[in-house]
Order: sequence, then structure tokens, then C-alpha cells
Amino acid sequence: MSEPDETKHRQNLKPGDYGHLSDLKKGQRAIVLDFHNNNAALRRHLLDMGITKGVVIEVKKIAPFGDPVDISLRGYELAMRVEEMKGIDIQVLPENEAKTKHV
Amino acid sequence: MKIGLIGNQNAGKTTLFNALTGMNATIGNWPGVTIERKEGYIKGNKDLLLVDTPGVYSLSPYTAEEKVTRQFCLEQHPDLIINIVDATALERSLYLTTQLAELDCDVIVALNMADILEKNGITLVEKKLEEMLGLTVIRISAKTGQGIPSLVDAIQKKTYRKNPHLKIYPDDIQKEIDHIASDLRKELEESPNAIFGAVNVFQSDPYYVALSNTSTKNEVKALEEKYGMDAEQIIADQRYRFVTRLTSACESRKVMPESWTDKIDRVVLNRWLCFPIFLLVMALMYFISVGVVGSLTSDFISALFNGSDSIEVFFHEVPFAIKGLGPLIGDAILNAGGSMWTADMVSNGIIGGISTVLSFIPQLVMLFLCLSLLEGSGYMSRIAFFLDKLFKRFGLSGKSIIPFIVGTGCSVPGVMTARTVEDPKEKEMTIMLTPFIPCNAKLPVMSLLASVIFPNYGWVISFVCYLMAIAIILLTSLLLKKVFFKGNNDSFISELPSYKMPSAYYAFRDVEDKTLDFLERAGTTIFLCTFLVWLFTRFTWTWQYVGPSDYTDMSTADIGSSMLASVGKVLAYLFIPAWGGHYSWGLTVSALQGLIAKEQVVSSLAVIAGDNVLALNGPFGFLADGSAGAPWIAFSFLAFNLFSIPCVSAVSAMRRELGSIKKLCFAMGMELAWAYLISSVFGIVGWGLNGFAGVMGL
Repeated sequence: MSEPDETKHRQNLKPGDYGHLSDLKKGQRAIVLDFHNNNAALRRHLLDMGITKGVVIEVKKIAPFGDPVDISLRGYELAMRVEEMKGIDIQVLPENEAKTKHV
Repeated sequence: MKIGLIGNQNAGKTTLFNALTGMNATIGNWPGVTIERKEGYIKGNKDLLLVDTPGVYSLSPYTAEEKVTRQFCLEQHPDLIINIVDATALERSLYLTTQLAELDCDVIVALNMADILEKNGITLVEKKLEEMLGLTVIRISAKTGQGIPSLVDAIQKKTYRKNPHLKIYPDDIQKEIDHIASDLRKELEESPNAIFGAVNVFQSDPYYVALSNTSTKNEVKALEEKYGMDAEQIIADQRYRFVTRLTSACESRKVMPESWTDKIDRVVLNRWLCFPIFLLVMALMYFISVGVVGSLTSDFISALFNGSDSIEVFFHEVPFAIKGLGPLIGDAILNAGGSMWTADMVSNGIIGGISTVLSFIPQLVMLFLCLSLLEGSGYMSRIAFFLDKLFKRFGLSGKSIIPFIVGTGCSVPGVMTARTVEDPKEKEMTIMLTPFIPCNAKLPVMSLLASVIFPNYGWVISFVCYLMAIAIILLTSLLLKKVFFKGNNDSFISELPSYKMPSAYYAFRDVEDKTLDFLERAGTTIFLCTFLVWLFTRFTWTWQYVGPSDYTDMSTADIGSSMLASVGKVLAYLFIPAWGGHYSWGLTVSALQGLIAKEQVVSSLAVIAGDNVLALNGPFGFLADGSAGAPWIAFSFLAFNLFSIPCVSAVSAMRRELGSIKKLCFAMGMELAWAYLISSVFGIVGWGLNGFAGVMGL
């Protein structure tokens, strides 16, 4: 696992840009490239919930005060805290591309 | 035959459990962690024992729920597992199925929520799923009962498929796992579940690594390099690849217009609307249960048992002359030649205790019903969702707000609603902090003393009290988070379920369960303690009766010579700073009774001082003598009552929810410490303002 690199907020990510899951705006979709997390239990939990390399995640709802965030993946929805989303590297996908899963 | 019911959280496990067992569930005991495990026989089949397990997404050994469920699978040797699968979240749900299929146990997949599949635009070919998975798949709806007869039939007649142990990994990984599995079979004679074990050795699961000597480090390392991820990731990734192959072959999803849930959420989770809506819902709930039901019933019930001339309904005195069960029986005892103390014991000790317990019930029932509906509809998850950011800073969960709000009515249901907080640390903190919120029973103490602290502006005092309560809660939670509950909080990873019309039937069942539970556990404690207070205020150490000479008129009692008073006379030394340099056993005894029930405080003061509690020439005159320190001392007494141990009922609810005497003692100690500290500070200020005169009343 790579060390947590710079996790500061990157704004206005466009399709094709790299960033962290926490940088996405409502309605944006991205593909998971990698994730780093020092907490073994949490890391395992993320894996169990289907956040594996190559999965496509869409930001569905953001709580009124910006945290936590409701995301959609693998046909279901999941709420998670921004803190954990910072550790997930993503690449933004085009808005209207048909949903393809990279398997 | 032992059958395990295993599935994700919110997959409908409890509903299916109740449908299968006909609600004959016996709630298991509460081991350390408060996780309920239910067992029950499948309706009409005394040989089919169904065991409910905590909802999990995986059998990994990390969270408490996962540990319990995994332990059940590995150590309880179920003969069959019913894997309940949320058909609307098939991909995620089948991930757990791939793990269950590695156990040496047959598995039936119950595809739940069949009734709402179509509404969600999902079509599923379960025959194909059954073929690809190698496990029996039965489509059910636990809610409507659809498909449940065929499920029961398959279990009874054993027509389900044998677990084929499908090979789901690519050849190179599979080869390694098979290799470890055969080693495990040789190594551990009594080890079934070799495949499950092998996969866990492969991903360095601490439990299995300790169990086995198989050396696979080099092979695993080679595979990790080849796949570009660590073993744990490889396994999760491959499981999901297998599952995606299944779902893309068996399931098709139409693109649906924006769902109702999303539409409602746009309003409910709107930045400007979320708080007003939340406050409205809470106010409504509080109004219905405490305002309407509570105020209509608790005076009434108390009147039925203890007698009255009038009761308060919606803040209006309504004439209601009734003798009450207690006085009726009391008089009967006297007429039959019984002694005064017997009449007093039956009327005030026993019947008084019963009425205390029962007067809680109607508002509790209403409150439980509201909460059950909130939870069932899915709104509760939204509350937690938008308040989480705020509360996280203090080591609490978004859901902690609900116990706090309920606690302004009564700490007992407040503490009980803390159950909805998922993270154990956050839950324990919520349970310990809820009693700091000033509850209904503390209001009479407040209004009595407000008149001397800040005449004509009593409401300011109430307001200050609530502010202080909030400050104490936040301070304490920060302190607890830093000192006692160190470490990261569990991440907030939970689902935001779709809104559902809550089922009235299940709501009522839920309310019934909780109410009976309250009666059984809290009720007995409250009753016992009320009786003990009666005993200790009526007798001397030599068991001489010093109670009232007319049991309906407490002012005829000589409380000053009772056991409780003699204890108070010793403890009063401790309270000299808190009572501003006054040695007062009366205040001390009243505060001590407040630890049992806050309702007792004012009545105890009245018993000791007579009707005019704050009379200048009475024992508590120093609270109202117009000296500079008096308001401070009065506030000190108020503060002690507000922030100390709330009452026996709350303590018994806390014991039940914390599940540990040690933690309960910690919580009570903390509350006493705060109360003593704050009241001593105010008391000493009052003492100082009065010029630090020597201790009065000694």
C-alpha cells in the first residue's frame, strides 16, 4: 500500500482527472484506482462492502454540512465519512457514459 | 436440526425470523456486548431450531457482530444455513454468500424483497442463479409471506441442494487454496470448514494463521506480485468478480426515474430544511407522547392509586375526587384492626411503588411507537446522516441526539433509545450522558428554587439549567473521548435505506416487546427501591416505627429519627461546602432521596420542613433569607439534583443497556462527581458572599 499521499481537497475535477473520492461533487462518477488506510478493520470493511480496485462509484447525496456522503456502487447505496473517502484514489468518469464495470 | 439465519443488515432477517417462527422468539441473554441473539422453532416443527444472528456483510473477524456470526458458523455447527439476500442489492449480498458457501454446511439462498423487485425495475432469473451458484435459491418476501411455504417445505423435506463447494477463484489461486485446504485437513483432525480455513490462511487471517503450520508465504507473495494487490484484496476482488459474473447473467435493471426516496431526501436532507423538519418531527413526537398521552395519563394513574381531589390535564386543574386504591386498602386495614405502620406500608410503600412504575407506561408506549415508526420508515437514518458531522467532533454519533431529546421527558426511554446508535463506544457514551439532560421530574425542584434564586424570572433559571446540561454533556464527552474511549471511532459506514411504509403489525410487536421488557427489568428495580426508601424513612435502627401517625398525612411523621436521617446526619458533613457552610441533614436526606427518584426531593423537603418549605424560621430558611449568598446556595442544591444520578429507574435502564456493572458504576461515579463539584463551587461562592461565617447548624 502506498503511503497516504497528499489528501488535500481538489476542486472541480473534470472527467479524466485523478483525485480522491472525497473530491467528487454530487452526481459525479469515478472509478476506484487504489486505496490506502492504516486501520486493518476499516480497510477490510471497505473491501467487504465492495470498494475494490476498478469499481465504479457515484456520489448520490451529500449531507447538508458536507459530511458524510451517500455513494452508490454495485447496485446499492452506502453512507460514509469524508475522512475515509480521502483514502480512496479515483479517476473521474464522463458524466453520461453508460455504466460499465471494469471487471 | 440447527438452522442458522444469516444475512446483511437490513436484509429482512428479523422479519423472516418472526415469519418462520411465528414470533415465538425468546430473546437470549446479553453477553458483554449487547447483541441480541434469538432462537426459536420453525412453526409446527419442534425439531427445526432457527438461530438468528447479527447482520453482517462478511465473516471477517473484526466487528463484534462479525465475530458473533462467524463464531456461530464455525463453532455451533449448524446443519443448514438460510442465507437471506436482499434481492434489490444482489451484488453486495452475494459476496457474503460466497463466504458461506465455503463452509462445510448446506446453504439455501432466500431471495428476499421479491415484492418490490419490479418496482425497482429489476428482473431476476433465479433458476439461472441457482445453476451458477450451485445452491438452492428460493424467492420470498418476508413481509408478505410470499414463498415462505416453499422455503419451509424445502427444509422439512430436505430437497435443497448439497453444497457443491464451487471453485470460484482463478486456477493459480485456487490451486494454492486447495493445497492449504488439504494441509489443514491433515493438520487439524477436528477441523471441518477446510476451504473456509484455507482462504483465511491465504489472506493471513490472524485466527487461522495461529492455528496452522502450513507455510505458504512464498506462494502467496508470488501471487500478490502477480495480481498487484495484497492477499486480502485478491480474495475480496475475486469474490466480487465471481458475483458480478452471476449478476450480469441473472439480473437486468431498467433505468428508473428518480425514486421516491431520492425525491423525499432532496427535501429532508436540504441544507435549510433539514433542521426545521427534524425539530418539527421531534417536537411532534414529544408533544404526542409526553405532552398529550403523558399529561393525560400519569396524573390520572397516580390518582387511581394514591387518591386525589383534582388532576392536571393540559396544564389545567380538573376536579377529580377519588379515594384511590392505596387509601382504600389502607383504611380497610385500619378498620380491620391493623396497625398504622401496616396501612402505611401497603398504601405508601407497596401501592405507591406500583403506581410509580405504571404511571410511566402510557407515555413510554407512545414514545416507543413513535420511535418504531421513525425507525421503520427510514427517517432515523437520515437524522443520523445529517447530524453526524456535528456530533462526531464530540465522540458521539448523529443518532445520539434522539436519546438526548427523549431524555428531556424521561431518562428511562432516553437511555433505551440509545440502542439505535451502532458504534459501541458512541452508544456507551450516549447512555452515560443522557441522564444529564434535565427530565420532567426535575421540574418541580427547579420551580421551587427558581423563586428564591431569581425572583420573577424563574424561566431564566430553567434556561440556564438546560444550557449547563448541554455544556456538561459536551465537556464530558470530550473528556471521555480523550481519556477513556481513546482511539478512532468506528467509521460511519451504514446504509441509507429506502423510505418504507412502516408495518403497523411489527411496530406494535416492537412496542409490546419493549414495554414488557421495561416492566420486567426496570419495573422490579423501581418497585424495590421505592419500598426501601419507605423502609428507611419509617424506622429507626432499632426498628421502631417513626412514620406518620396518620398515613395519609406525611407531616405527622418524625423523619428526623429514621435510619435515612441518621445516614444524612453523617453525610451532611460532606455537604457543608455545597450547602454554603450549613450543616443540614434535611437538605442532604432530600438530595439522597433524589438519587432514588427526583419526585421525592420536593416532597421530602416538605415532610421535613412542613408545608412552607422555604419559611424563614424553618430548617431551610438559609436558602431564602435574603443574604447575598442565599441564591447561590439554593442554586447549588438545585445543581446537585439536576446533575447527580437521575433516579433508580434510569440507573436500572443504564445497567441494562450498558450490560456491565463496572461501566454502570463508572457512569454513576461520574455523575456524582460532576454534581458534587458544581454544587460545591456554587456553595462555596455563596459561603464566601456571606463572609465565610463558621459552619451553621452544627
